[in-house]
Amino acid sequence: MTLEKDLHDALTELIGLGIGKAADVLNSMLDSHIILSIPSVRLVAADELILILSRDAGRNLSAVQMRYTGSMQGAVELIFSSGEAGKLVDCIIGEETVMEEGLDSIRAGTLCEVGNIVINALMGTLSNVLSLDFTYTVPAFIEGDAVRLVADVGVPENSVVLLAETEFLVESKSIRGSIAVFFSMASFRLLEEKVHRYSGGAL
Amino acid sequence: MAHILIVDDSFTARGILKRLLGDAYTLNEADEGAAALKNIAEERFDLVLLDLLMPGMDGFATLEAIKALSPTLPVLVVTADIQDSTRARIMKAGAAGIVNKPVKKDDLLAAIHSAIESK
Repeated sequence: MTLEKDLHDALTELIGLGIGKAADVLNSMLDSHIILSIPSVRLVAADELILILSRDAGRNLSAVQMRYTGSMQGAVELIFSSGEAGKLVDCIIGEETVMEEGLDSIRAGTLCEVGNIVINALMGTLSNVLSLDFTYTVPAFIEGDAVRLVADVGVPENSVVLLAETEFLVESKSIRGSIAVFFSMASFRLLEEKVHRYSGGAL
Repeated sequence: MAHILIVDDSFTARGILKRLLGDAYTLNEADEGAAALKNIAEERFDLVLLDLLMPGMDGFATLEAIKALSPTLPVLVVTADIQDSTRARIMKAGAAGIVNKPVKKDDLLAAIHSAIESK
């Protein structure tokens, strides 16, 4: 499953814009500067996503999931290995914010806030540039292996996943994760049409 | 001292707002829309800080209900949603303003001041 070159270039540009927006927003959460980069963007099937995540991030994954409806239907997950998620949350909350509810709920809540911001920045950029309109669900924290994370989306037959590998550079730490945007085939066809119109200057 | 109601299902998000507002305001919290309405029916508030994405009654439904219950009570919507369409819908629904997540203290205080002054 591959993206034609023009579509790949345009989607990479749009996702770069969204991630740039997310980095700006995350910088205001942190005392230290954060750089967000997207080493790669590709289109995969749901079963391929399971193989990629299992190979690259292991069995213990932490994710923030938001479903979207409106112009298109699907879900977005910001996914980390549990170790990488912990590193990111440590950078954000430090030690002083570990309070009465306990570490796990604080970490999950913090990761949900980060996911909310990153996913809104990405999908909001797609919405504003491509004239789409999304309604989101409340961000949900999910833990488990890749099978669990994909199953939780409830992927319909013929779904496709736009997979953007992400790298958060905070201070001297490099934290790797992935953003997976799940589309129904009909939604992906609409995205293709919108991106082609954007590339052709019609939007 | 102004009395503010924070409405957000996220413990973390409420904690951030409380930390930013410090002791400068009297604060009440609600973790869902229905609890917010109960608070507003029982107490007098100067302003509401309202999250958009909440389970059950979402921010839009809560805003509509607040406006029906207390039309002059200013509501600032606190959201990470950057969609132009969402932001237009928020203002059309009667919000006094929008505060972007993650919340910057100066922006929050300026928005609160402006909303209460224009009440």
